Amino acid sequence: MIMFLPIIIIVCLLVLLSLIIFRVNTKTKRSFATGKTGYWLLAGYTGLLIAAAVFFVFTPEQNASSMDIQKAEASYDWERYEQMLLVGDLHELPEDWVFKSEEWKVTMDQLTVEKEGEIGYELGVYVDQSEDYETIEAIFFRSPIVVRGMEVVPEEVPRFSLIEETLTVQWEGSRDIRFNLYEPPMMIQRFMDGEGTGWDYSDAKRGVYGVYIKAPEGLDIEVADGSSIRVER
Amino acid sequence: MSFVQVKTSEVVGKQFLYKLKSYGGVFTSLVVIQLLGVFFSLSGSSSHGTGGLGFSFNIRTYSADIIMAFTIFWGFMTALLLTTKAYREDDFAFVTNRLTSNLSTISFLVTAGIIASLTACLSSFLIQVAAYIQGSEVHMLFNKEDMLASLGYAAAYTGFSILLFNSIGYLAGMIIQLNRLFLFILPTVFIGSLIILGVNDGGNPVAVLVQFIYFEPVFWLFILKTLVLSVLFFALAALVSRRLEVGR
Repeated sequence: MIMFLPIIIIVCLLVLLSLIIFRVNTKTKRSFATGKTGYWLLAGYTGLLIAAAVFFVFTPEQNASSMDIQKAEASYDWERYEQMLLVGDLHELPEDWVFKSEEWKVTMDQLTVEKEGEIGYELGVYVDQSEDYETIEAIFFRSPIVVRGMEVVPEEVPRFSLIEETLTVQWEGSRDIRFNLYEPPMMIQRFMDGEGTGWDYSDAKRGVYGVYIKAPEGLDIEVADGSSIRVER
Repeated sequence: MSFVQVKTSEVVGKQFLYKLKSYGGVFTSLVVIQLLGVFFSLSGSSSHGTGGLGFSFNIRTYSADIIMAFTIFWGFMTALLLTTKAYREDDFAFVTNRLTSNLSTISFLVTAGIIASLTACLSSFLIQVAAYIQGSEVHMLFNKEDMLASLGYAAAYTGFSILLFNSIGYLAGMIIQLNRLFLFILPTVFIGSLIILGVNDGGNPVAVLVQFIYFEPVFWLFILKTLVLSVLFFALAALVSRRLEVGR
């Protein structure tokens, strides 16, 4: 029924307008913008609104319904992914996440990880040491950002460089992501069972991201700002 | 002296059609005011920004609130305008009395209000299209189901609000026609009430009325309240109009 609502409204409007226009006599005593002029202007405006409604119908939908958003966000179990990382199950992360990896031979006894650029404590460094690893491998991973059920993937990745005993994770620049959110009018939101309850910062889920370092057991690894997370298998 | 009996309903019908024919100008102002509403809505009703690792994002919210508010105000002004002498004298082309004149004008206001509420809720599509074509770098966040669900509410809310403001405007117009002094008194009382409304938590009659209608969370109760109050204000306006002289 709801899907037919715009059509019903448009038909009502058209019927009303046609009734009025055809009943109205052209011999009006009033001049500019009165009598029929007003109705023709209204008819033109209605045409514009109908064209906009048609455009809307063919516009691909970009975010899920309120109910679906709740369901979808429940399925983004970020904590579960963090738990996986803590036990070294990096391979369990979804394949469509953004990954970048670089590998180096081990030529040192000690490794210092430094972060440069606007990263700070935001970027966690997972340190996974095992006898099975023969090289140093730095992997950046990132889940999509989810805004009201819509996934956006910031494709920017950090730059890795290993000079002597220092592995530098360098982040350059920042990307602006713009969203235009259409909300049902505020005046009627109280009648709508929680649908379209206005923007909330919790509507944006930043997801999971970090740098995962695989290195041989004996290597002494230190993260400069102390933000390392040890992987315990 | 004529022996032809005329029915009230026939006279009202003829006057109503005449008013539809003559008062098309109100739709010019409706289109202008709604287009202005669309224009103002394009800057967004609110903007939020936040950021994360390597990104910052900005969310601009759009809605048809401004258009709905403008349209409701248009309803008030239109009703006020139709009580002026120039418009009321149009009725003298017919066999008329105050009752038929009031009924035909109210019928016209209700018809115009229905059209206005329908165009106001459809204008949300126009805002959305405008927001959509603002650039390929912008992600549109909307949901068809939510939006369509809101259309019925928006149309009914605007329609009944226009009716209420029509009746308030009609009553105010009639009071002003009764005595021109009210032209100064009514705006003073209204603006004064707004100021009190701003500093008072609902102790004055205007605040009580606003809370009574616009804080109502149950939709059908909101409709009922606006309907009853509109009938009351129109009836009061009709009573006031009976005190007007023919030439006033």
